Amino acid sequence: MDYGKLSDQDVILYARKGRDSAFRELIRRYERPVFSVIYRMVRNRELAEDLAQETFIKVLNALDRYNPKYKFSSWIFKIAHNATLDHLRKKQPETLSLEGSPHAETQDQVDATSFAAVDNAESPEDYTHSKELGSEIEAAIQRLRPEYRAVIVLWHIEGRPYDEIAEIMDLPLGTVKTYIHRGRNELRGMLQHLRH
Amino acid sequence: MPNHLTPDRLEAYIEQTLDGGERAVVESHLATCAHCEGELSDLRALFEALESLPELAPSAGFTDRVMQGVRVRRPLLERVNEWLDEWLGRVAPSTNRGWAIATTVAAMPVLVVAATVWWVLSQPAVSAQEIWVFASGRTAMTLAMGWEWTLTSFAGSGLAAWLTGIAQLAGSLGRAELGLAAAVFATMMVVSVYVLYDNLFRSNARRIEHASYSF
Repeated sequence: MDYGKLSDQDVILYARKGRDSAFRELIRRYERPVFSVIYRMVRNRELAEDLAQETFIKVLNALDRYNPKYKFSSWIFKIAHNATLDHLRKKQPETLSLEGSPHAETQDQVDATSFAAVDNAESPEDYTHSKELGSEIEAAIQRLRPEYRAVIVLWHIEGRPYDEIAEIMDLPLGTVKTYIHRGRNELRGMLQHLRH
Repeated sequence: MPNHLTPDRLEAYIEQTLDGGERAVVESHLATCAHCEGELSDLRALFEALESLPELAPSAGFTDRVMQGVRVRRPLLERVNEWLDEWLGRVAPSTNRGWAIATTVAAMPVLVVAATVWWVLSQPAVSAQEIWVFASGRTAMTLAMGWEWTLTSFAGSGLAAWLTGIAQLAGSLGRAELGLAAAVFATMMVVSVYVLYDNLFRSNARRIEHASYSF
């Protein structure tokens, strides 16, 4: 069966009929985007693979509940995003907000939502890996708070439109635009030394 | 200090989300303002750098590892077909000689029956008409005995007693009670049919709202 020309919705119909090859096609289509987003959020290959695997298993086992009115990509990215955030919240709270919640408006709110520790999720090996990717910019993305990192990765690298990002992250469209604007500003600041 | 373009507008300009009029205003400002032109080129460089980052791939065998955790539920008919295909693949002959032997073995009962019928009919004391009369008479007799046995068994069963009880109860009820009982019965039938329909034909159509996807 050649699924190449079929839409995600059509492939899902075959998967619902129990075609093993249709499940594999959905994995083939989304393994890279989903893994990329998760990896850039957690910066640890083994962990990113575990979270990506968990995402696919959840999504593929729940295809009966998928509403074809919506994009499959939004759904799978949403599950991936939630799994990643859950992990960051539960296992490594210090990675969550180095500079406080983006919603914080006063210094007290910033202090209350900040962690003094720096992100220690990245092993030396992973750090080397990010350097190998050529990437001062990868390192800069890593220093963004997770909310900004997610919108930057989804918009700039995965090419998802704003409304889809809003759906994925369960945020109002305006907030997504604010986050991406702030994220870009922070990146420009961090990469200033590269200016000619 | 001149009114420089805001970062929002510069980003919108790069994203090409400004309408024609706004775009013209931004372009005319950029043509005369080195500061904004510099900001724009910085922003463009950031956009290009971000967009040049590669998509990353999980390690080999990722698909198989995912599939180990996925429940692939195939329809019963498809599974039966697959089992039959597999079984036929095992038992079906693979050579012409094998097919010849299998066909001969399969034809043996037909040949034996045909030979027996030919032998019986070739006897001088037996005719086809007599055999038909004998066979149809025995068949009719066997069916009549079977029907009688079924009726006798039913009459002596608990089900017959229960049905009789129901009929007596219905006879003793007034019109209103009978109407009520009929309405309850009809409602139960409708509910049963709906439950059957929902489970047999609509199971795949059950969906949850996209906004409430959660696990």
